[in-house]
Amino acid sequence: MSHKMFDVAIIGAGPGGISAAARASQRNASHVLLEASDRHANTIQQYQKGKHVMAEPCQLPLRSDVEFRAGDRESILDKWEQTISNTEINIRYKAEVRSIVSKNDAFRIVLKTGQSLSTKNIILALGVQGKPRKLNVPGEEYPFVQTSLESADAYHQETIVIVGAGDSAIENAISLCSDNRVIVINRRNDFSRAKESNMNRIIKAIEIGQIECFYETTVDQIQQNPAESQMPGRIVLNTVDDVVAIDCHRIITRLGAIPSRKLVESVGVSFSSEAADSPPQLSQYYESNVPGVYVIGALAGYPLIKQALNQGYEVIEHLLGNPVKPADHPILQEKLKALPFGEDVDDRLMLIRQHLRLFREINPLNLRELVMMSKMTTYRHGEVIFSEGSYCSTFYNILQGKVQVQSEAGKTLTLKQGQFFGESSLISDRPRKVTVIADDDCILFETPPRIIKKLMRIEKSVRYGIDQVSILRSLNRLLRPIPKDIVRLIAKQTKIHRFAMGETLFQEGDCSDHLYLLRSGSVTLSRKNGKKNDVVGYYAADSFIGLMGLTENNHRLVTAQATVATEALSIPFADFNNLLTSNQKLRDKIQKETQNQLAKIPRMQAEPERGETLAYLMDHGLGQATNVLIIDESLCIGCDNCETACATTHQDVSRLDRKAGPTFNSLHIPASCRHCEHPHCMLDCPPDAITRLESGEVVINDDTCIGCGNCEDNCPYDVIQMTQLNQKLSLLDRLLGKKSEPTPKIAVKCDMCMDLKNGPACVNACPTGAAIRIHAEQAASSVNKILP
Amino acid sequence: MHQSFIRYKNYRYAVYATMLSFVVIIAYVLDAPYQPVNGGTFLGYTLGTLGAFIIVFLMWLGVRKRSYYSSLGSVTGWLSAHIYLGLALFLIATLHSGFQFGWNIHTLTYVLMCLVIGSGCWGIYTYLKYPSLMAQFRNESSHTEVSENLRDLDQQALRLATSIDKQSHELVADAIRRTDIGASLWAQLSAKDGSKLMINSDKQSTDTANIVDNKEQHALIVTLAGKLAGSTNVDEITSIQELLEITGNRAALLKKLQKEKQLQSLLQIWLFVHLPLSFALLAALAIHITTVFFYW
Ligand SMILES: Cc1cc2nc3c(=O)[nH]c(=O)nc-3n(C[C@H](O)[C@H](O)[C@H](O)COP(=O)(O)OP(=O)(O)OC[C@H]3O[C@@H](n4cnc5c(N)ncnc54)[C@H](O)[C@@H]3O)c2cc1C
Ligand code: HEM
Ligand code: SF4
Ligand code: SF4
Repeated sequence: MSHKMFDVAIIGAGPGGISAAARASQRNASHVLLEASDRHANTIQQYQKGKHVMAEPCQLPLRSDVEFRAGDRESILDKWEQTISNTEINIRYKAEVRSIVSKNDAFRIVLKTGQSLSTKNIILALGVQGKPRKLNVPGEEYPFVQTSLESADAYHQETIVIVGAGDSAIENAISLCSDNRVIVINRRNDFSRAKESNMNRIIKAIEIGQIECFYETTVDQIQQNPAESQMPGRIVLNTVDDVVAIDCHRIITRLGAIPSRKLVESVGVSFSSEAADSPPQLSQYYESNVPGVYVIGALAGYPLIKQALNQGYEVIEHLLGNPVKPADHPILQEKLKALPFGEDVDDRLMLIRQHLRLFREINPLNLRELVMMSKMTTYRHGEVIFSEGSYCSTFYNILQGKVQVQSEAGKTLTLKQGQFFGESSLISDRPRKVTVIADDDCILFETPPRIIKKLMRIEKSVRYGIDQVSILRSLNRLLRPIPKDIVRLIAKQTKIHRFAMGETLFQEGDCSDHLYLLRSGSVTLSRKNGKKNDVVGYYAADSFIGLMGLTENNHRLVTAQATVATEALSIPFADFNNLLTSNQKLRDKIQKETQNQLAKIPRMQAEPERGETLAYLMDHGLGQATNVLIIDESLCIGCDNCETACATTHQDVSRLDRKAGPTFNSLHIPASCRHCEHPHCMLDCPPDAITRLESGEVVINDDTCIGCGNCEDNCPYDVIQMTQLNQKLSLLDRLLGKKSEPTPKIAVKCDMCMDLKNGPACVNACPTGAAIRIHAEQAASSVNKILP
Repeated sequence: MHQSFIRYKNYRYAVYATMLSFVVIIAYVLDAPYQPVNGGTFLGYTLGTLGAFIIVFLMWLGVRKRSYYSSLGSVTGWLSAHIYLGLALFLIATLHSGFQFGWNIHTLTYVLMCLVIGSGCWGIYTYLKYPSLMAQFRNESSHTEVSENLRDLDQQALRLATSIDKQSHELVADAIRRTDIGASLWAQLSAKDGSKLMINSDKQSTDTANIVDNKEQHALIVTLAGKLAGSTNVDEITSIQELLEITGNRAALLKKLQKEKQLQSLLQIWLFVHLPLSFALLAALAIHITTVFFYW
C-alpha cells in the first residue's frame, strides 16, 4: 500500500464514520474510511428488512453532509450509498482493522489483509455490535457460510446448519425450522447460556423432532460438497464418539460477538470503568487520552444514529482547527438560561461542576450529557419537592438555597448548596420515605434515575460519593436514637454487598458474625425440613436480616436468598452489640423485631402451603413487581372480558395474554407487565422511550419508540410485543372522518390504563372478581401474615 | 387476596338488599290491616315502581359489562349488586302482587321474573362450582400449554408417519384434519367426539375411500395396528410402534380437552336461558305497566 500519510483515518463506515468522511471530503482533507464488511453501515444493513428507522431524539438538530430522515431501512441505506459515491469519499471495503500502533506523532494501522497504512489522526466509529466470533476452522470463507440471518422467509426447503447455542442461534433456528431442515451444533450439553424462554423453546423443538441437535460437538472443517450441486456445503463434525459429515445448503455461525473494546484499548485508550457499557474517557471534542485518537457514535456511548452523524461532522471540523459548537448547543443554552450565575454555556457548566461536589471529577462529555438530561427547577420557599409515599426516584442536587427533609418520626434535617438528596429511592426504587420542602427559594438540579444510574456505573467517583452518604443516612434513620458520631463509627465498619437474583446471602448453619440491612430488593428466608426447604419469611428493603444469630448461638438459623437483584449493608455483630448495650431503646426495638422474625418460623412451617405459594410468587418475579395481575382460577369463568377490555381501551391490541403464564394453587399469573422496581426493559432503550412514573408504573412512549426490540429481549417475563398499532385519533379528527394509519412495529405493553380514571380496565371488567392487580408487598403480606 | 362477587366489599350489597327487604316487609305488615292487598294501593304502586326500577337496573348490567371505558364502579361490584338486588326483587315483586294470581299478563310477568331469577341462581351455582373444577382438571398447566402440547403431538405424529410412507402420512394427516371434539355448543355440552377418518378399503385406488367414525382415534389406532401386524421391515415396525404410542397419547389429550370444553360450555349455557328470558321479562313488564295505566 502507498506510503502516503493520511490526515485522518476513519475506522467503521456506520453513520458516524460516513458522516466524518463526507465532511473530510467536502473540506478536501486527506482521509480514508475503512470498513470491515463489504458494504456500508453494516449495523443498519442487519436490521430486519423494511424496518422503519426513526430519527430520535427529535429535538436534536441534524448537522451533517449525510442526509437522514426517518424512513425505511432500504431508502436510508440507498441515500447513504449515493452520498458515498457522489462525494469523493475514499472508502475501502473489506478492510478490517486488526491493530493500531502509535509511532512518533503518527499511527500505523494494520489491516486483516496484512496491508498497512499511516495516518496522523484516527477516528474510531466502530459501533458496539462487535465483530462476529469466528469458528477458526478451514473453509469458513465459502459463500454458503454466513454470520447473520436477515430474514427467515428467504429460505425454503433447505438443509441449514446453525453453529452456536446462544439466544441468536436459537432464535434463528426457531424461525427457520418450520420450512427447513435445521441442525444445531452445540459445543456443550445444554442451552443454559440462553434466556429461559428461548431455552424452553429449543429443547421442546428438539424433543419433538422439529430441530435436530448435536450436543458436545465441535466443527472440524467446512468443505465444498463434491457430489451434489444442490447442496453446496458440507460440514465435518467431531461428535462425542464419531466424526460426522453433513451436506447442507447453508451454514450460519452464531458464536456471539467480540466487543470492539479490545482493539480500542490496544491503542492505549482508557475506559471509565469495567462495566460493559462504559464508554472511553473522552474530551469535549471526543478525543481520547491518546492525543489524535477520537471516538464517536455508539462506541462513545451515544446510541442513536443522529448523534453519530453529528459527531462525525464535529470531529472533522475540530481537526481542521475550526471547532464548532456541538449540535446540541442551542438546547443546552436554552436550558441553562434559568441559572442566575455564569455567562455562557461553558462557563455555566464549569460553575455547575464547582457547585456540585458529587460531579466534580466527572468527564466533560458525561457532564454535558448529564446536564442535557437533567432539569433545573426553581422552588419557592415552602413548596413541596416530593412527599413521602410517592414513587418517583428522581435524584436531586442543590444548586442554590436550602431544603428541609422531614421524616415520619418528625425529625427534620436541613441540606444546603452542593448536597444531594433522593438517593434512597434511587437505590431501592421504592416510594419516598421522607418529605422534602424548599426552605429558601432554591434551585435544584434534577436528574432522572436512569441517567444517574448509568453515571454511577461509569464514573467511580459518583458511585462512591452516593454510597458513602447513603450508608450514613440509612443508618441514621434506622438506628435512631443513636448519636451521630457513633453512627459515623459504625458506618466505617459497614460494607455494601450486591447479590444477583437467586444468590444466597447466607446458609442455614453458617457461622454468623454480621447482620444485614437490606437497602434494595428483597429476600426470602427458608429453613430445612427433611429433604425440602420451607419458606419461612419474605423481607423487603429497609428490613434487618440475620438478627437471629445476634443473641442466640452463633449459627444462622435460616437460609437467606435474594428474590431479585438485592443490595445489603453488612454490620459486624461485635460493633452492633456494643451499640445495643449502650442504648436501651434501640435494644428493645431490635429485640422486638428479632422476636417477630423468630415467631414467624414455626408458624410458616406449620402451614407449608403458604411458604410454597410465596416461593412460587417470588419465582415469577413478584419480588420486584410494583403491580402485577393475578387471576384466581377458582373464580375465573374464562369469559375473556379482561382481554376484550384491554384491547378495546388500547388501540385493539390486548396487552395481557390471559391464557399464558404459570399457575400454582389456583393463582394464575398471566403474561402481563409487572411494572418492575428495576425494570429490565429500560436498561437498553436507545431513545429512552421507557419511563417509570411517580406512581410506579413503567410505560413506553409510542411516539419515541424506535422499534429496536431490545426491551422485548430484556424483559424476563415476555410481556412486550412488537406490533403495529392504529394511531390514536383525537375526537375532532374522528369527526372529520380521518382514518387512522397503522404505526410501524413498536414495543407495546400494559400501561396500567394511566389514561383511564378508574384504573386498569381488565380488573374493572372482570365480572367475578377473579382478576386483581396488586403490589408485591400486598401479595406477600397476604400470604405471609405477620403475627399480632 | 381475591374477593369474589359474592363477598364483594365484605357483602356490601347483600347488606343493602337485606335492609331493603326488611323495610319492605315491615311496610307491608304495617299496611296490610288497612288496605285490600293488591298492586293498586299506595304501597302497591310504590313497590311496583321500585321493582320496575330494579329490573331496569338489573338489565343495565349487560350495558355496563360492555362499556370498557366506564368509570362507574367495577363490573364485579355491579354483578354483586345484581344478584343481591335480583334476589330482593323476588320479595318486592311478590309483595307487590299481593298474592293475587290469575291467567293474565300480570301473572305472566311475575312468572317470567321468577324464571329469570331462578336461572340467575343456576348461574351463581355454575360460577362457583365449575371454575375450580376446571382449574383442578388442568392441574396447573396453562391453556396455552395444553393446546401447544396437542400441536406438538400432531407434528410428531405427522413427522413419524412421513418417515414411514406416503399412505401413512395421508392417513395421519386426514385423522388430524377430521379431528372434531366439539365445534357446536351442543357437541361440547354432550362431550361428543365427532372425529372421522377416511379409509381406502382398496389400497390401489382412492375412489373406494369411505369415511368412518374415528371416535377416540379408535379407527386410526386399528388401522395402524393392522399395518404393524403386516409389516416385516424392522425400521418400519419401530416407527409404527412409536406412532401408535403417540396416537394413544393424542387420544388421551383430546379426551382431556373435550372434558375441559364440556365444563366451559356448562359454565356458559345458563346465560343462554337467563338472557332471552330477561328480555322477555322486559317486554312483559312493559305490557304489564301499560295495561295497568290503561285500565286506571
Ligand atoms: C435493531 C436495531 C434497531 C435500531 N434502530 C434505530 C433507529 O430506528 N434509530 C436510531 O437512531 N438508531 C437505531 N439503532 C441504533 C443505531 O443502529 C446505532 O446507534 C448506530 O448504528 C451507531 O452508529 P455508529 O456509526 O456508531 O456504529 P455502527 O453503525 O455500528 O457502525 C460501525 C461500523 O464499523 C465497522 N467495523 C467494526 N469493527 C471494525 C474494524 N475493526 N475495522 C473496520 N470496520 C469495523 C462495522 O462493520 C460497521 O459498519 C438501532 C439499533 C439496533 C441494533
Ligand atoms: C329480574 C331479574 C333479573 C334480570 C332482568 C337480569 C338480567 C340480566 C342481564 C341483562 C344480564 C347480562 C347478561 C350479559 O349481557 O351477558 C344478566 C347477567 C347475570 N345475571 Fe341476571 N338478571 C336478573 C336476576 C338475576 C339474579 C336473581 C341472579 C342471581 C341470583 C342473576 C345472576 C346473573 C349473573 C351471574 C349474570 C352473569 C354476569 C356475567 O357473566 O357477566 N341475575 N342478568
Ligand atoms: S416490561 Fe417486563 S421488565 Fe419491563 S417492567 Fe414490565 S415486566 Fe418488568
Ligand atoms: S374477566 Fe375475570 S373471569 Fe373473565 S376471563 Fe378475565 S379473569 Fe377470568
